[in-house]
Amino acid sequence: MANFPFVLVSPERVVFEDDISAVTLRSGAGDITFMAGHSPFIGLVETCAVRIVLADGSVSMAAVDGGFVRAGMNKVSVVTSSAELATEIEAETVLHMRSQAEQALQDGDEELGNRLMRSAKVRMELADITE
Amino acid sequence: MAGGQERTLRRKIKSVQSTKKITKAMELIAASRIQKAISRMANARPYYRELSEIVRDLVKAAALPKNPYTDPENNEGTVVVISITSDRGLCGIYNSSVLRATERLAERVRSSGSTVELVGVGKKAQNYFKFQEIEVATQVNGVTETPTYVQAMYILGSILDRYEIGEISKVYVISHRFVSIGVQNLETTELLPISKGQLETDSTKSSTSFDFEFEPSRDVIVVPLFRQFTLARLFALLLEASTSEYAYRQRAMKSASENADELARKYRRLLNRARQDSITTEIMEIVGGAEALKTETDPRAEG
Repeated sequence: MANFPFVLVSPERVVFEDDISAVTLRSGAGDITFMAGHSPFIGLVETCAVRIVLADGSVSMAAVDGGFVRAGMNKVSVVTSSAELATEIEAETVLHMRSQAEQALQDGDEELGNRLMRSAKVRMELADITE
Repeated sequence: MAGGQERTLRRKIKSVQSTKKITKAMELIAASRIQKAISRMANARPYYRELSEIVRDLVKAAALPKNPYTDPENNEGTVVVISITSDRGLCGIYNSSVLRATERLAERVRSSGSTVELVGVGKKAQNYFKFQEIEVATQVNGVTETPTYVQAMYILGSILDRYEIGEISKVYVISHRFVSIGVQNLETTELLPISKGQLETDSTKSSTSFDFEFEPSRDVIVVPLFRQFTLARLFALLLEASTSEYAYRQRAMKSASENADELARKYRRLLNRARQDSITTEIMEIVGGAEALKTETDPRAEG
């Protein structure tokens, strides 16, 4: 399978950058997979788990807190306000995030609460975190 | 009398030297922090670059959909001025220049008939505005040492909400821009509305042009995209201000150390003179005493 350069960036660092063979993420209506030579595309990315198929066929997962994806010039980039590879996720941080979400929901801040809750859930699933 | 002067000078030299030790240490700390701050700026660059690329493609595709970021509906709303200062002092004119520029800008906006809302970043802004009895809408501390993106969102979040509904019509940021270790400039950045110039200069850098497909649609993407772009710009400004602060502090501490050296040299010269004076006086006293003894004993010997 043909490979193409892919980059996942957050404001503080480049989370992932390499040549890969496919990447799947959730954009608007549903999941979308990019492969080499994808037509020019710009879309919103939901808070979701991103599935990256590396050049050697192995799979790497990452949690992304919403943002944008751009495909063009045979290159795909995902720009997000925060992201972590599955291997970087720490249980303590995620559980803390979830308790913050619960707190926000209790305080009536639904927008923030739901957002944090979604981020926490995506990470808990990825890193297989239970209570 | 003379001994007292020497003691005072010795004490002064000692105190100047211990002050110098502190300023020298602060200089070295600032120097090492500059490097860290510069690498933080470098780490943030790919994000800004990728995001501007998306903005550029969106702008180029066709006439921009109507949105508050490039053409605000209300031009007479509140004007927000964000002043980025430091939490700690001892960095030369770093803070005072920002605060002076803030006051000048606020005055100009007020005289044009608009309401000004000040946002202070850094304890130095807080202290100054409190002392001057200037009302501040929002005050954020503990950001400038190591700015994070979450902090940028915290500062700007509610401002953007109010901007999008037309309550705020302009946002300025007054901060130091980092050019190099030797050069930092105080600049007033017009964060919002996003000027056409800002978008055009970004777009001329690339010659590629595609027919992009937009998901869900350009009209829907434009607002969240410009929102994130604005946050990224503020974050970049915060990082530059933080780096500039360390550069200012390093320079201030370097000149303080040099002044301490100069002062210690001056005191040592005075001390040497005082010591020489007291030795001379002592010799004069001894010689005088010996002379007096001689004249006193002589008549008795004759008698």
